Amino acid sequence: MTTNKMKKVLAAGLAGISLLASAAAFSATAVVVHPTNGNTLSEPEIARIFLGKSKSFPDGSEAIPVEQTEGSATRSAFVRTILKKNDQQIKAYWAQLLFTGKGTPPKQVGGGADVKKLVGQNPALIGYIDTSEVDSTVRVVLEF
Amino acid sequence: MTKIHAKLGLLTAAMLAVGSVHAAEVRINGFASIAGGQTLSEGTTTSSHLTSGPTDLPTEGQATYVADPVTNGVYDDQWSFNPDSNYGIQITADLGEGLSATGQITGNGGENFEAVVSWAYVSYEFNENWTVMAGRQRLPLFYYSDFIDVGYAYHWIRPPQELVATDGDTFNGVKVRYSNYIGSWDWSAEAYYGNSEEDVVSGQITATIKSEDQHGIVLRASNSWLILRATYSGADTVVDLEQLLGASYPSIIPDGQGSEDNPLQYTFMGLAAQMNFGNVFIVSEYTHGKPDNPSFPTNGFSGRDEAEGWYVSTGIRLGNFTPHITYSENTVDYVQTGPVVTPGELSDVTAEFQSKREAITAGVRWDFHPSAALKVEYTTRADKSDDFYKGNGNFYEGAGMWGYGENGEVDVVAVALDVIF
Repeated sequence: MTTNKMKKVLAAGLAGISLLASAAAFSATAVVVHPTNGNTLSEPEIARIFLGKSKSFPDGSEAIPVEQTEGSATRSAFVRTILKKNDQQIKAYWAQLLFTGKGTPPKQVGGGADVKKLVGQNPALIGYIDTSEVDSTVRVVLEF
Repeated sequence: MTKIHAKLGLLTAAMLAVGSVHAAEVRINGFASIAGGQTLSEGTTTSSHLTSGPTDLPTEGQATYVADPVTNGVYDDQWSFNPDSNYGIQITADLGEGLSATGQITGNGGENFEAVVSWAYVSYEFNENWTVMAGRQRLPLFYYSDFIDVGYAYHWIRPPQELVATDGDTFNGVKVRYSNYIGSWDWSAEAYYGNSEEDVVSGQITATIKSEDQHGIVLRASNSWLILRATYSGADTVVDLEQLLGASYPSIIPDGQGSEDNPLQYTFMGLAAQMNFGNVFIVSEYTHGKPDNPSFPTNGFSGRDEAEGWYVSTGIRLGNFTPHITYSENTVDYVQTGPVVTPGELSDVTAEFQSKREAITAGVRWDFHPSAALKVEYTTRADKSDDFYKGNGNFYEGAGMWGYGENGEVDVVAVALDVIF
């Protein structure tokens, strides 16, 4: 085996390892809407919709957030990064609103596939899925 | 009980009506706290001639700690599961187009878990900014009032009991809320109007206290790390004097104070702030209550009693554990005039004195499950009233109202499991 060949094999191997590592460590999340929904949304605007503070998209149309079921890693990442809370804090936040008539938590519809399916069918919905699940049935408004 | 059944019936009827006209989406949620605790102190300084107060506190031998005067939650030196335990079931029917009907039934250990309708209202959202709620609702006096029953929603087993005490915690009426945002600030303004009626047991007598013209506003602003809240509330309070004092009441209270014609007026205000710095949070609240006219005469004395109560609490979220510590204080300044009999003469005197209590609470909340938290808490409360008041419970904010051990001090330990579903 020539040194060159060995280098190539080694390089390919390393690239493979780093790819795997990045897939595990940097599994990214995409906030998605229906393909016909043309709204541009900032991170705070998305947070306002998911915290029940805003019920419409910037163009004035109705916005209905859908959540992944508790315990999903994608959900935890979304709550931590976009809502700036941990799983317990978001639960306590909704308990305060729910039992005082000030708001109802978004529906928990299942995993990424369930969210994608629902969002792809209804222009009013907004959800989040793993970036690896994104396809043409949804439009990405934010990736993190 | 009859009253409660009637209300439950009404509520059910309302829900059924709702169900028949529209395929309403019905949502059932609930919460429960199972808490146990006991006092760790010796002796008692409870008044021996107790005629009033939240409950029949023992007169000797046991240190007591009143955890909740409204629901008669009292700890003594025997482990008890009652004072801080409660449950609640909420049913919301979403009728669509912004209209919903909600009923919440709660029960407290201090009242043998008897079901009470805490909330029963219809809510209508005109648009994203305006909401109207009509029916039975919590009186939003304190930062924690609205969700006081939902232990899961805060870090303590019970919020500090040193805020200004008021009669009743619910009202029947209308509340209008406007909410909006400017930049990174969300803000809202609420105004409410209604009335309430409550039976207060005082020794052998049950008196009906009616609060009429109950009105108030709540202002709230929040951003990503700060929540600010300010509130004002006022009410005209009427007591059934004949029920309380018998037919001879006009000779006891010549001006009929507290009657329909001359109601007692009371003004309440409160300020609260919650701050989050990463994992550290600080929450503080100040409350002030003052009668607008001389207070209801007790033991022949009448005057103006100005009450202040506040706390500051801090904690740190370390993974699933949240250790926290709280200082709280309540003072009532009495300026009262009344007849004093000294040998050979009867004269009016004006007395000024203060009742005061202080408490320190330290505890840990452990979020061991997504829907449940376990809490352990230790509280030490001390009676720092003027000597005149120490051990002189009765109608005042002294030992008779709050229970203490020897030397006007009491330590209490409690453990609670809070769940929501």
